[in-house]
Amino acid sequence: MNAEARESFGRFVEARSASLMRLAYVLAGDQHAAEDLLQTVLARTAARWRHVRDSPEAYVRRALYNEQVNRWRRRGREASVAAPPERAVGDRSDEVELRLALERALLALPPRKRAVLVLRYFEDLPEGQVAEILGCSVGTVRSQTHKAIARLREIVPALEVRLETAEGTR
Amino acid sequence: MTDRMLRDAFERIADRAEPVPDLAERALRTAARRRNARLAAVAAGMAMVAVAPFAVAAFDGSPQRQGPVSGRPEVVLPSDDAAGRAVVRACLRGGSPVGTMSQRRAEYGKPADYRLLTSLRVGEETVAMVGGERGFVLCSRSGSGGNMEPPMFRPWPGTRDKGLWAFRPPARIDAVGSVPTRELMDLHHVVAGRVKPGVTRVTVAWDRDRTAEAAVRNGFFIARIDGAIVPTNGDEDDMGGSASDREERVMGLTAFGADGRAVYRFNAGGITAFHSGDCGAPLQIGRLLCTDDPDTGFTPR
Repeated sequence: MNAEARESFGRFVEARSASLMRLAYVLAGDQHAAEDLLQTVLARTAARWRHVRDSPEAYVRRALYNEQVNRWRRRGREASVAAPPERAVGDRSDEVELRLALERALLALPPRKRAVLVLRYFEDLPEGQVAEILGCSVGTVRSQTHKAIARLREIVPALEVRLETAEGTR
Repeated sequence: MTDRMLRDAFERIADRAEPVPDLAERALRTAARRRNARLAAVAAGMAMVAVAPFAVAAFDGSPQRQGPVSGRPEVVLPSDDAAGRAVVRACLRGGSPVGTMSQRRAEYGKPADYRLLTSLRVGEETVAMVGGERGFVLCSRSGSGGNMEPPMFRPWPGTRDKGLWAFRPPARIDAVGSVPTRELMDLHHVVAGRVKPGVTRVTVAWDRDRTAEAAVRNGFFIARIDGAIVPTNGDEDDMGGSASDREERVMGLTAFGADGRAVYRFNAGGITAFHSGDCGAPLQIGRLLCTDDPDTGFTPR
């Protein structure tokens, strides 16, 4: 990589690192894993900078999803079972507790299911685009979403009523 | 409180991300280190290949090298039938195989270009190898369901311009790896490959004295043992941390002729994974498996 390419790569990372780190964090689940994920993808991006410099953000975002899912599928199944909430939330008026329980439940999902929810709800992408990024069918996206939400309900029973329309409205 | 609830939860999780200093520099250093490591491996690998003993094990026991083939390449795929087509569709999930970025790749061909090469049953599940002229896909299914993972394309290692059976020894390994089972923490550890005419039976040996009978069909074989996903910290009870595939080492294969006698043994050296898609990468484990002479074996006495 020549000096000009290094400079443009550096400018891209400087401008977009906060946003990319946020995405890496929701995919990986903690700071350390997110840093590792993002650095792995950025190193690959640097190696391919000549080919991706015209639209690096799209490449990096797609690579983040695929790297995280592939780690799970091929080598890792990392963090597939995180600690469940300490207790079920029964009091619907306790919004703070419910929010915390939902966050813990999201992080307890296997990475592929979490990735589907991140793409659909955090990135707000349509099913077709989610399927394209994850290399699966729209039907798989739907079933993964259904299973992910079912799993959330299982972990946090108090979410059952709240999430009912989430499935039906997408 | 529906989609919004999930979106807000993700936003709150994302808010915990802390900025990482010098991210670009660190990425550039990592990329440079990997490049240097690859270059070093090329040099080391070339030296190793140069001194590797070439103990040729021919099919009939006498040294023999595949002669030049003229005319149209002989790529003989099994015939097509309805049951095979259904398996192919299921294994390819109705489309083209995916590449390393998990995206469908039309250039790898459509389901009609693929055939069921061989398969074996494991209870309610099936582990299969489907392939075409350019490459193949390993697949695990439960019942009549689809492939339990995206259909990852693997090119045929070695040359293809002389057909799929231009490799020298009587049998060769084309893939070593894992495919999912229905159980999240279990895997099938699979070895798949090709055999030349006359080989009717193949056994594959793993470490810890495990041997599996391969399903040999149409000149292809596939064998499997139970694999598993284990916590990387070694604590079976602690599943809160990271996990990885349990290491399964393939020690070798033995090919048998129609008379039941072993005609060939291949020493796989304890390889744990081989993906032919990485053959262009200098760091490929089992580099010899990328060639038409993937052979450190010997003819059994």
